[in-house]
Amino acid sequence: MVKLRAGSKVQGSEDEAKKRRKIPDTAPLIGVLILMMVYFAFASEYFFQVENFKNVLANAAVTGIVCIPSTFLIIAGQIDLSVGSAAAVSGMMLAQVVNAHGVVLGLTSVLLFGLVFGVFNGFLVTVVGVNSLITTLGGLGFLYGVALLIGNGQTVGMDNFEWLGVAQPLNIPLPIVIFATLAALGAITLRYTKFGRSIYAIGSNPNAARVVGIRSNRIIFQTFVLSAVASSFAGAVLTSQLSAGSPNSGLGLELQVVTAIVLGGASLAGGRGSIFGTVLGLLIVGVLNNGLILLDVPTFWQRIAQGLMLILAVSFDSIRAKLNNTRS
Amino acid sequence: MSNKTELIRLERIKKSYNSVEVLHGVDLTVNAGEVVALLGENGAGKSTLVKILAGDIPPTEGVIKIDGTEFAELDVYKARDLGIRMIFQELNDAPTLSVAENIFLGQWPTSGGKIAWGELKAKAQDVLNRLEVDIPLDAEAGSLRVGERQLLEIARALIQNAKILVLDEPTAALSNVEVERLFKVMDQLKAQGVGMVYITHRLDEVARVADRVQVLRDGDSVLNEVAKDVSRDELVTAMLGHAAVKNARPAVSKGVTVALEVKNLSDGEVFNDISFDVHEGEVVCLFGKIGSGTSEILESIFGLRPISSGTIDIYGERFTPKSPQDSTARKIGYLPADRQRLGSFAIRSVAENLSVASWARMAKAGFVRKMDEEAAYGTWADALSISARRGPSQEIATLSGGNQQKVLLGRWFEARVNVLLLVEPTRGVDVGARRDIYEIIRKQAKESNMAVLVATSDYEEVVLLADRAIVVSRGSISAEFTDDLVQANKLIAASS
Amino acid sequence: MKAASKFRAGAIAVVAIAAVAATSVLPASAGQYDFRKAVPGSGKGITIGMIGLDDAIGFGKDVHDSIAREAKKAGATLVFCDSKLDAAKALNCAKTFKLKKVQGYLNFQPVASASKSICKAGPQVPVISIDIEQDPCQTAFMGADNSFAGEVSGTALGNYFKKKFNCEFDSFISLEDYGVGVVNAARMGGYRTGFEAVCGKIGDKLIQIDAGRLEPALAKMKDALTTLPNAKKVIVVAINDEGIQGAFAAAKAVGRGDDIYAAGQGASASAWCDIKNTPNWIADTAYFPERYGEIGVPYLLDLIKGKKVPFQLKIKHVAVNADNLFTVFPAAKAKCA
Repeated sequence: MVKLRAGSKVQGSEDEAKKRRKIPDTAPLIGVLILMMVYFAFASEYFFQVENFKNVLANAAVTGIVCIPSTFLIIAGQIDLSVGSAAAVSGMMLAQVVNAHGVVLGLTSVLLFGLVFGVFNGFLVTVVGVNSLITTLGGLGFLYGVALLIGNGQTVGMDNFEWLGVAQPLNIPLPIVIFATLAALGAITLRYTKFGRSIYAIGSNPNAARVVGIRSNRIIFQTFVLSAVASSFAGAVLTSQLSAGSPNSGLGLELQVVTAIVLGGASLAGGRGSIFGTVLGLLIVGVLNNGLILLDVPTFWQRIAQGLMLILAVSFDSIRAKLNNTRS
Repeated sequence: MSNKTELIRLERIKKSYNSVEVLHGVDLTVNAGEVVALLGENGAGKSTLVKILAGDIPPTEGVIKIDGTEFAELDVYKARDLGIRMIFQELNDAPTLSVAENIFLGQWPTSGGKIAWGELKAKAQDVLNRLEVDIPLDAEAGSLRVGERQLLEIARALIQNAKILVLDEPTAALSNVEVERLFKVMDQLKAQGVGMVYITHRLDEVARVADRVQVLRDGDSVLNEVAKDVSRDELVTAMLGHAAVKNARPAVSKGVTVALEVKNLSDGEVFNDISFDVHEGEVVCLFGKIGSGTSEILESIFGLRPISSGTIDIYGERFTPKSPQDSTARKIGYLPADRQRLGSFAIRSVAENLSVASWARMAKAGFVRKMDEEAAYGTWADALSISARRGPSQEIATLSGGNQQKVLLGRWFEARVNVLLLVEPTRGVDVGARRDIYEIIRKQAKESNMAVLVATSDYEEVVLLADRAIVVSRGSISAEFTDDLVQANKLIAASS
Repeated sequence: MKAASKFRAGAIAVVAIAAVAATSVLPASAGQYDFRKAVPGSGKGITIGMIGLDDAIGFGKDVHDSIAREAKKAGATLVFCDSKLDAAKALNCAKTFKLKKVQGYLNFQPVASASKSICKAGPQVPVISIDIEQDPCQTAFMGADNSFAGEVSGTALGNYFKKKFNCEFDSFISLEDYGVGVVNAARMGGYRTGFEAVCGKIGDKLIQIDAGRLEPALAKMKDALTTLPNAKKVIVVAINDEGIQGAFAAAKAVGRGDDIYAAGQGASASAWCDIKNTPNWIADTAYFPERYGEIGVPYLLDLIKGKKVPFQLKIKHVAVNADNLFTVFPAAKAKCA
């Protein structure tokens, strides 16, 4: 072996690295979030209250649960657009099964559905080789049909299963606890495990990943399963919050998820992104929506503000990337 | 030369990044119908100078005169309008479009708002004829070999009636025949009054193609002479700042155990009935022109390409690779010629690029510690003199070609492979770094008893790198040389 | 992404219909109340809330605007929060109302079965539900009376046919929307009840077609007219204004604009000028979304002040035609002059 003199060279370049420190990827997002919070805190007396923060986080939690595996997928260069419909089917299923057979069977059937549907997506993408955009776009369509079918187009009320969405252990709503736990697990997996690092490698260069012996197909398959299971679980949480399953409850969830993730710095081309960024993206969207409602901004203006906000935040990110490039 | 029209005059060009000056006032002039060879080690400032000329980046100081008009800086569009065209060593084509479309990329001839296909194809064919290349116009560019795609880039510059042509190492991926064709075209262009800046690492090309030669070292111009008046040794001395070591054959050695044995291997397409072995600690080069089948043989051994008959044994055990995963599991490493497509994870850090093939070993209960990765990088950065200014977290794509290649070599060293397959290991790497890489490969092979198999079309590489050379011609082995018989003239004779 | 939003648009259309469907649970007629303009100053110092259906839907926006107008007139502060057809957003609205301490609110969120959670999450104050039941916290319910709405225009049609043709007609085409179930039955049945009360049984002259929207009405009406080549007196009724607009477009396209006599539901602003300028558009039932505030706001203020208010607060539907359009909707005058 070549002599091991680990460190000496690295040390030198790290000192240099300090001099030309990169602006962290998430800095602009944190800035935007703080600016927004300061503004809303001054503009609305209701904003800076514990109760309100709980509302913001509880709202973000359902989307957030879906965002974790979706972040994995987007970093791997894949996408899952069927999350909203999967959540709707699982919500409808949960309401029906809980009413007829109780909570245990209800939750089991929902998670089982997620597993089966994830295997279905994973099989199509990795074994049959269908592009994930098309596969899951198909899933988005047909599962919405299934959701309508389950309740015959109607919503279904659900009794005696509020705790998942409403319970507040230690005065914190359970969905927030669940989301925080999943986010932490997701972040650790992505940063520190072979599985997570492989996801970055696959997204960065799928061909090279193959050459170095990464089992890309298996990892993508597993991630699609995670995504579907998380979507089903999120559907269950939402249904529990509403005490009703609605076929329309997951409408547009896929766009909210993609928005948060991309806002959080992930690249749709793959290879870039982080759970921390996604959480920031979620919070920015969540705080903005909350603030606009608290300020009684008319609906149409809310939509305009939300769209502009997205463009602004992504522009900040591009500017940061440019700054970092000119410095290197 | 004073009677000729001056096309380019760059005066006292300085360029700084973050207050670090990388060009210290360089002049460059090119006359109509003149070829100026621009030489220099990596980091000497060639790319920066050329980028300023192309309008990619503005100079910090200095004057740019094009055709007598003075500019403080150019932008890409102005440069285009002035007839300045660049040909890079990295491909800039659209792989899913046809050959004909790629030749006209973005400048497709139209009539009445529609693309004039007839005209487009006729002109494209005309240009390919001038280059004496036989490629079907309807083929997808992505289906061609790298060398052929490089010729398409040259064809594109030709079609756009360049007045000033900058060629940044265009021959790196070309076979000798293709190189000669390119030189003929350059002769034609010279006759038409086109001025050219020719960046190369192949010193023997300088005398063949250039009128004048200019050498940069550490951001200064250190030599500017008429090409035929300068010797090869003078050039090397100017580039390195000291006299070069003689082109000596390394001391040949090998272990006793056969690590890789290939018998009667065929893929039913490109190569046929190939048999050879590689011992522990031995470096064997498969030498052949591009298209001769050398790189395909390595792809098949690694499991990237199916074989139709024959056997592969690793340490005496039968090995039937179905996928690269099987090969990495058997401790075989593979470094492809196409670094961007198959080798590097461009937007990921050097540390990660280096340790990616070793995660399985590094992982404890599925967790890979960043510390371990950085330590691995530290070891090899040191041993292979990898210079990444921003340390282990720098994105690999921001490194020079030579440094990238060292990282990718380090990847397999770190993975402790028994057999390492290398395809064109110094493609796009400058002269100084090449010798480094040869030395690294040999040293690593000997010290860790690794069997190294190289596919290359560069005879100089074979002379400097191989313990043993096997020559492949049209898919079959035509000769084998060992010891001092590994000589350039013998290799070339056997390969054609 | 483009395709995804298409799915979404389609889905929203379905939700809008489902929202209307939810009104079905209610008993028909009885409990109709006149509009009451809000008394200036009656809401001074009072904060009321409203959860909207969706401002991107014309009907929902009209209701929102009228409530905002009346609240302002009364001097009350209105906190509006759009559910955008989403129960989860409505739930969030209710939480916000609690935070903002509204003293009473109007709820027009579309998912009836989610009302329990929403009631629980919101402040425990008087609630008036609009068109969709909000159990268990609704103190009063205001909204459309579908059966009566059908009857009003059916009667008007009958009177017209009795006077002009002595109740003779060739066919009675009913453009329905089976997707909205009971609402469909109530409205379309109402037409027949009203017409038959004047002209007697329709019998086998009834043709029912599933065409609740503009495009299917246009296509299917052409086919229906083809099967009735010699008919000169074809009655067409539809579940909404769109159906009738489609029917006239179809009839004109085949050169038989004078052969059909029609009645619709809604009398929305987008149909005003067609009602005024199409001689054979005999009647159209007004729903008055732009006047919902004249019931919602004064009664909610009454509730907040502890006054007793009847549970059912239904809209008094009126049949409009070319003659009385400008009287019922003064704003139409400028629009269709």
